[in-house]
Amino acid sequence: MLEAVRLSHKKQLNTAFIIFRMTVNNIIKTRRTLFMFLISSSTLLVALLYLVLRESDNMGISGYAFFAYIMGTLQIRGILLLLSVFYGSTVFSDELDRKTLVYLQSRPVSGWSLLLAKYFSAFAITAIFLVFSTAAPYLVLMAADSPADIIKNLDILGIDLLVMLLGAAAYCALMLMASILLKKPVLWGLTFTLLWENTVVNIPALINKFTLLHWLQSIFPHPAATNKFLSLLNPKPSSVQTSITMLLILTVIFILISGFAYRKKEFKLN
Amino acid sequence: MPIFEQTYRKWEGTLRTAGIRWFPITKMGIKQTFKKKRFLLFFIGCQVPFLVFAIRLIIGALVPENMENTAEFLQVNPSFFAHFLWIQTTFIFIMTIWSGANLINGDYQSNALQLYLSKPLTQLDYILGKLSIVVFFNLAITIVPAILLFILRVLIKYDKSWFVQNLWVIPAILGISLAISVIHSLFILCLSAITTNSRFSTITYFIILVFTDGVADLLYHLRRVGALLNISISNNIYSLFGIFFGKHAAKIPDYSENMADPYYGAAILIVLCICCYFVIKKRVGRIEVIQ
Amino acid sequence: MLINFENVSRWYGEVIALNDISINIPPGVTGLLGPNGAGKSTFLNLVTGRLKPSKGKVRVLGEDPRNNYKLTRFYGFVPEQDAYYEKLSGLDFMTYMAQLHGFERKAAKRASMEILERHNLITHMNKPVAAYSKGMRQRIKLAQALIHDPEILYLDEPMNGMDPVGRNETIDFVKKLSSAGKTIIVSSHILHEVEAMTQQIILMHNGKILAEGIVQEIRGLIDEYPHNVIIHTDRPREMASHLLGYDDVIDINIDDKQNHLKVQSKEPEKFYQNLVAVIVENGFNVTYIDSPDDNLQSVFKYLVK
Repeated sequence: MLEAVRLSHKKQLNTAFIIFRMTVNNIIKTRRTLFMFLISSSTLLVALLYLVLRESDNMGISGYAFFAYIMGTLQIRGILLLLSVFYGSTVFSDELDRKTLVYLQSRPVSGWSLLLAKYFSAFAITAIFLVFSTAAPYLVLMAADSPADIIKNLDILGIDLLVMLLGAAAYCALMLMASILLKKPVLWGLTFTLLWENTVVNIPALINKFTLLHWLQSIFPHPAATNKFLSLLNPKPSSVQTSITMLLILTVIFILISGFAYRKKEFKLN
Repeated sequence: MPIFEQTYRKWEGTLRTAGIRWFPITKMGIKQTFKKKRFLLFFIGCQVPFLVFAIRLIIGALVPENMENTAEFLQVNPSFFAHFLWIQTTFIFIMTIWSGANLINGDYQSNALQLYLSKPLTQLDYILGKLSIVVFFNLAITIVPAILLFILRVLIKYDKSWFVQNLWVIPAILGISLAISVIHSLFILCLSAITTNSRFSTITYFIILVFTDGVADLLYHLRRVGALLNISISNNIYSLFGIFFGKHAAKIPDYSENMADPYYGAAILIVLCICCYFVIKKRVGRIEVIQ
Repeated sequence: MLINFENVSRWYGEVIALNDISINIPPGVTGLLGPNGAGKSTFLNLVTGRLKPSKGKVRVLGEDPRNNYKLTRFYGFVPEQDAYYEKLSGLDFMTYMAQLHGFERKAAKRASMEILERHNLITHMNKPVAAYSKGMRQRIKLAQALIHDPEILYLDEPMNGMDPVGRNETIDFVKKLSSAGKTIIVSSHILHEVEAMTQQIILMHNGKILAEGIVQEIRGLIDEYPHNVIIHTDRPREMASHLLGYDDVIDINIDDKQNHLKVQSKEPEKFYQNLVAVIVENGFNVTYIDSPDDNLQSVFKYLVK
């Protein structure tokens, strides 16, 4: 029977899928996921609050405008970054912390299969939360103005979702790379996203292209919130096609670096 | 001359505890943290604003007194110190995480909590010992450089009227630095006590700060009620500048005059600190022996 | 040879963990012995490809194990560390491990249940591994290494945390695997336990190999250190007078109260032959004969002096 099993051994893609499924299952079962779900529901909660307040007060702000504001403040500068940083680093770092990487390395699992499985599990979880935290307030706030607006502004929702997914793809890849190369990937990830990106993205020079946020904001259909002083600098966005291409290229580059670093690095047992 | 037995000899002196029982925890924590090279580099990097402000202060002090158009930038007044401390609060976020995210959950993981509490230490001693580690590092980048700047100003250009007029800045520096340090430290310790995963405590710390900020901003955008800005923990912390520096806090970029009374923000922070303390006490109190 | 080390050195900064090791490991059970810091873990890390040598070559089944995931089909590894997925049950964990080896889902589940039964874990298979006792976790670690029926098995301190019953079971299990044709490398610092599993050993100390081979052969080669033999007899003084006549006997200590004598001989094999002759010719009543040197502990002690 063992021989038969050996002969039917499937390709590395299948192995990657097994790791992907197990990683996602493990993540979903944790209490942290519930907490992250609450965080990603904050956009919906704020949208519902808007509805409640709108009934009692004559609001000077339309549902669409408030949706744009939520996307520009909470979503692109908060939820997207924090979820991606957390899940992007957790998927691999957890194996190191639990010391279970040894089980994966003593199995016929290629480094690339392992990393791609981990990457896509981080991306999948982050993407699900982001789609929820984008689509849910959209439905509530468009319906608040007029149900027909839900269909009318679908293109905006589509672009928002595209930005979120591209952002998740890029940041998760960056954090996967950081979790292989660095000892404290979350700390470095937060320093990079909250300090470097939030500051440098506002500088009107070539340097702002060294941020993922610049490319995301170039596609983003809403104005992103920023510090009142830095916003005076008013940097120019890049074209949408260039931004999408750059984000995809950067994602691939981060994953490639992760792969090469994983092969070179020694994860020894202590 | 007596010949001593080469065996274990019992200590015949009196066992004395340290004057402050929890001090060994703090001392060891500080020593261990300073051993990390990257942390040392970061710590040195946090002193860069001190150098910038010191140069600014020196240039300002050398500018002739009769120059009426002395740039506001070069004036050394209470706003100068408030501004310096505001910049350092940015570093406090990272410093707090680096020195504090793993303090209690590291002890959970290595089962060291039982070792601590089997010594003549109370839970409060343990908490104070751990808290002091983070507070130490936060004060090292706030109080110490700020007071040094004050002393530098006095030394470079001693002016009795300036000194008397601005003497109140010293307790203001002490007060705001201590307040911000303790708040951040208690908060990170609370998160470290809640979870066994330091990555999760790090990200939760940021999530809560960033989110309360974002939600406060959104709600204020809706209703334009100052009290809504108090939802943000960061806003409440910045409002403390209003308590300690008064009108001089207005020039700080993140200080919002739209907020409700700063004492309201202080009250919220006190309640937050008390809650954090009780959470830590409860978590430390229940030592998990076997799961 | 299954495993081959050719002038292998490995250092971490200024610390040399393995120092110019050249060795061939044959099929069968080999004990990798040494105190903490001897280099055993580094040895296993190199042989499983987790580390690469700073110098020299490592070959397993003729191939470099570094980044060679295909080789993992032929070996199973039991790590020393207590490593597990907290939320997974024993069965889920084993099924996952089996699937990664290429088993299809149903076959993986079936094989997992079989192996859990073999390791007395079947009644606990639906409990999370985090709730298992230390001994149970050790057994499941062993089970995951055997699920794909590998040719080679690496065991890193397999009896850590086990109770005496568990230890004996593991020793018996290793002997069974060996007789089934598996090659097993057991790393341990508990010498008498490894001695119970195998006579083929590699002794390590400070990154070097002190000796390799059969315990008695190694002991026999240590010429500088005389072999001690304790003989319990009714007439110790008389026996001593006979034994002193032989030139391999260096020293004899007599304890009249306890009725025994301790003989030091530089040629143990010759001494035992002579001892038999003395006993038979003179009709001595011998209650027991013991050699405190005929174990790994003493061999190791002599080699590190």
